[in-house]
Amino acid sequence: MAEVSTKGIGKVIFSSSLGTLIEWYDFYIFGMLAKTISAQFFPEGNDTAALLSTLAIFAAGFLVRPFGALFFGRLGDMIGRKYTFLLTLVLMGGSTFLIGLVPGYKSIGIAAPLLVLFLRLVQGLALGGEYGGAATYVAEHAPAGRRGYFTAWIQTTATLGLFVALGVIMLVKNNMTDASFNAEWGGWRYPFWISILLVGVSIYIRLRMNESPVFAKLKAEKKISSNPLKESFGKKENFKMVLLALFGAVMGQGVIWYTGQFYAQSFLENTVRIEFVQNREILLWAIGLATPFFLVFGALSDKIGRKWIMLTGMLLGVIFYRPIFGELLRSADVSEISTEKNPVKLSLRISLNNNDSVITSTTQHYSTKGLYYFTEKNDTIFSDQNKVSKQSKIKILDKRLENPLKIKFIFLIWIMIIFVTMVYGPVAAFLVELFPTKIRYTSMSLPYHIGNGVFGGLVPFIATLLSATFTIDPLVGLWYPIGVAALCFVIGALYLSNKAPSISPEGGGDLEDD
Amino acid sequence: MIKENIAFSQSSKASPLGRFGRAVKKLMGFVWMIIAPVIIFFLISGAINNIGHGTKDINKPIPWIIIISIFTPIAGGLMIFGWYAIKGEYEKKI
Repeated sequence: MAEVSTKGIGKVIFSSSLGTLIEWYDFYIFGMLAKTISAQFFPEGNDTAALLSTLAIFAAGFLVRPFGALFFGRLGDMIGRKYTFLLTLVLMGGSTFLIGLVPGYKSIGIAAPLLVLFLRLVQGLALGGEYGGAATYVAEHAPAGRRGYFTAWIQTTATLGLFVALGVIMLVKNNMTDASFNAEWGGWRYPFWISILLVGVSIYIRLRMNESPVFAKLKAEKKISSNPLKESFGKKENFKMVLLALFGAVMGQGVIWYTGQFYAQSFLENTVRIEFVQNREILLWAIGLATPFFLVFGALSDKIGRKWIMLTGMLLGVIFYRPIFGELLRSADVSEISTEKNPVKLSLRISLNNNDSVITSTTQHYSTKGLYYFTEKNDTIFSDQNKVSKQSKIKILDKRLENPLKIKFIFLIWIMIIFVTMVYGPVAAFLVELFPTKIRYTSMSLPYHIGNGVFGGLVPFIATLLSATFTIDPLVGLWYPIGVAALCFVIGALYLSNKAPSISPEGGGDLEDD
Repeated sequence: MIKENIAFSQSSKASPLGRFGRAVKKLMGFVWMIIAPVIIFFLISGAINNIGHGTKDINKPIPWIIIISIFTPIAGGLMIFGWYAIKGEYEKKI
């Protein structure tokens, strides 16, 4: 048996987690700056650019991530964990930095979106290979009875990467005008450039680490798999585990993860219409307060088993998503306008449209519900005096919550991220324990990236599809994550066991006993 | 044959609750096998009904092509999972 002790585990966790956090940061900033990137590289009205933009969004998440999981998983099982997840870090950091250097469409034409698409695909590929390596590396250093706790540190990185990405973007955005931020060589590029510094530090740290002791032992004994893909997916004994991991755990985890962190953010912005900065502020607070619970549930899974913690997180999502999202919508409903305070006209602008005058007025209103919001109204006075002047509908621009309501929103989002911590905290330990060392990297990476990248990544697409089909219910988009999580809950409850791995008589607790 | 006999003798020793649990796991295998083609049917009909009817992502062909191509092997995996469940591959809890 290889020596597995907690000596030096702090360094192992730090080096692995920092790199994974940076990879998530790199992957997120592209999505968060999508509007600006789109304006710079994929201008409206150009069909080729629009096609490349769609490919950048969908192919990177859905196609390339699972492919990256297979490619780097195989590499990790053949040459080792350390060098493979070092390579993914270099690829991710390099491509992120280079995105920040690509001139805009105005300067180099169609080459700009082509380059960005290529670099985005490299990002997806690298992300597909990173997570499995980091989780395996940490798990293979951790003693059996505390594997849930130690790998939970890796699990915090996906959320902390989002936290750092939000924080950096807000910091840059708050220190310059919108025009300076959105310019061709403007502030939106800074988060991409910062990445190279972070990656440099992380590579330096990772280079000083040793190979996983469990893998090193396997290599010394010449027991490494010669064809991890064939062994993972060609042998029934292992393939049935891959399927069970996907349909009984990771598929539900993926939708809960995506709904709590990303769908919630876009729901607040596009449906509830909370102002941009406050929306991110709410999410930052909720994420910051919920993140320690990844460790709590990871550690708890070492004591009581992984299964029911993950499944309870899914079940809570199934039960509470509609009430929580409904409450977010109702709490900021502005159909009742306060009579206590009068609306304040903020601006009045007159412009000419042909010979007609268009009067645009912006007004600030107060709602009795503890928020204020801005509206815009366009009135047209026709030059032809026989025509009656036209009044447009009042359009709500943004809402801003006052403190008590803001705290309520933070609390509601926090609850949903707690569900995320329940399903996501123990999942790395759960996955590494399902598969033997020689094919672990390959076998766990694929279901993880299908669960998160495909099932999770589809949440906004299916939500739009459902909203376009059933227009009456504003919460109809939630039926997709609810349905997937419910299906996964039933499969997991039926087919998974809850035995604590450290006391497993089948030897599941010893990762090297394969 | 010997394997089947062992399996039979093991299942005959199990408690009624255990036997019921195993039967449910096997029966549910049919459900997983049916769900898989249903998902693909809904994806294809969703694509037919939405492509070209607006300007959102759901109205563009590329996302649907990518999603259907990636979901087809996943649905195949769900069918195999159902088949394994029917064959009793998951009788021992994992």
